[in-house]
Amino acid sequence: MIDRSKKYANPYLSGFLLGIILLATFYITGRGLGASGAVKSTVVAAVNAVSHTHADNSAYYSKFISDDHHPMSNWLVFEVLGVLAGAFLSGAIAGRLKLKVEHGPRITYKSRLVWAGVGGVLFGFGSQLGRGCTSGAALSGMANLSLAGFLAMLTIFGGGYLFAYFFRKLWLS
Amino acid sequence: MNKAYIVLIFLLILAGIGLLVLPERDHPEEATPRELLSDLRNPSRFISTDRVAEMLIDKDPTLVLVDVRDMYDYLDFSLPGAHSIPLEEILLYYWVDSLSFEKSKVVLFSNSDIRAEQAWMLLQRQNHKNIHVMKGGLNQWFETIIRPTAPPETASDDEIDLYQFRKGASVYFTGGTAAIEQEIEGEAVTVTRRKKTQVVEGGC
Amino acid sequence: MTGPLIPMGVIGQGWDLVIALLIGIAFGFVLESAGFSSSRKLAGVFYGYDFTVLRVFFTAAITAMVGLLYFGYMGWIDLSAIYINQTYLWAVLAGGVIMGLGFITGGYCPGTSLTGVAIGKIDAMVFTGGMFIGILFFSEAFSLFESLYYGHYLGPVKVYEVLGISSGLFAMLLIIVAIAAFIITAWLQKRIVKVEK
Repeated sequence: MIDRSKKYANPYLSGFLLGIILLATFYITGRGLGASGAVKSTVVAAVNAVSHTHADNSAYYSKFISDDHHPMSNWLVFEVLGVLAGAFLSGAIAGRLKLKVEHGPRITYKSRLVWAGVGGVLFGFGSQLGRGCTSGAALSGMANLSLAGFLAMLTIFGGGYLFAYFFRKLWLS
Repeated sequence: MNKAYIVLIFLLILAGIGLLVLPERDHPEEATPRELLSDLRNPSRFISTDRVAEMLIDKDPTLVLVDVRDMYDYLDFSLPGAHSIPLEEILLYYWVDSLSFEKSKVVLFSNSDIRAEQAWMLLQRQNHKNIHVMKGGLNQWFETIIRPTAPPETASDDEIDLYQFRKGASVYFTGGTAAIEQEIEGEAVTVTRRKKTQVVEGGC
Repeated sequence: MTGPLIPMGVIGQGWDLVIALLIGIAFGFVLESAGFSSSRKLAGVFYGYDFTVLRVFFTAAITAMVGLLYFGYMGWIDLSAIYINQTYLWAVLAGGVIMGLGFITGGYCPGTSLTGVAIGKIDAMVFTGGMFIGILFFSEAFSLFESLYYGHYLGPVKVYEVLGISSGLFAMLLIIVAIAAFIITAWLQKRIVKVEK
């Protein structure tokens, strides 16, 4: 059964509000939103904590380490903390707070967790290569009319459609 | 539900047409390399240390001095009333628009010409008008205004006047202490010169 | 009081992180209330049984884009001072496809997975954990991907510049495409859901 919960907001309204939030973000900070960047900061901070020399020597981590401040003291990390709080609030109001594994009817929850992990690894990797994810690269990138934004959007969704057939068992009934 | 969506679609299309029709107010055009080259070869951007001194003494309100060296140099010494906008930050905030006004003369300076010229070039690319460079920078300022060198005895009246002016400026800017020694020297020289010219006139 | 406010110095830098938090809260709230905390709902866009993702995404992008253009026209924001994403051609193409695969297998993207985590979805938590590993892998093996990462740099180029049209024309075209997409997918969803049931 597809979740047709009436408690979900009208998508166009949500989209409009999201657009306003994005607009406000640009207006105030000069940059768009993001999400994967915060997870990246967590990785950088963790690696830095475990071995600072390794982080410094790495061609990649060193880009995100600065003497001035802790790698997690940045805009995206705080934004993401806010996202967690905001989502929690919304879920609480709508009565959606529940510890569970959501999965398609044709697979087991264990299967779902494995694929969720795989998807996460792929997305984590891809987001670094693509310098952003759907929120940062695609959505914000489209709003500021950058070529990278549109390319990101097309390839992310295009990629999804490309492989959709092979993974239909995960989702469809 | 459907009617609401139709209204929204209509509004969206209206917004789109608006964007299509409204004139694009992009950021102002940047100067082309050719324009920059021709501006570069035109010496009118240079303003002499004497002129700057004059404007400062006259308290000319159209003068806007900008020190493009780093903050520490600025705090050590700078020209009176100069703003500190280091070269690295020259494009950062829209200071040109907030500091300048109609008929204002923004004068950039650094120790020599180099950084001031670089700053000028960057601003010129953004098509700001009325940006000048103080020729010779603070080094020249010291040589001409603070410690002006006395012109040789065969100098023209203009050069003598200029030197007089500079001496006066030196006093003005250094509060008189450093200048005293020079004054005495200067006066002595002047006296000699005048006698000579009188002799020449007399020969007629 | 031209924007962007913080780069222009209208709001002090100290407010930066506070604002980030507030914006994040709004962002998370809207995403979750739209249903993006559900991986099945998100995956729906790829199978046609739920086009919420397309509706929210497209609407948001157009709202912000049109907003920015009008703000720029009114002089409320300096468009040349906002961040424009850098285009590294091969990196964004490859990264995008990999993310697409990640989307269809994991059923989440980073932002939405966080909303899932917030309401207790364990699959979202696993997804987020997976992201951590994926980023770690990329960073450690960076030298392998370095040339792909930095390859074919085009700069912060705008999409309408590449197409050779004005920003206004592009916006109008995108609006038309969006409206068409909304209408078509609404029709499609009705049909597919009928079949599904």
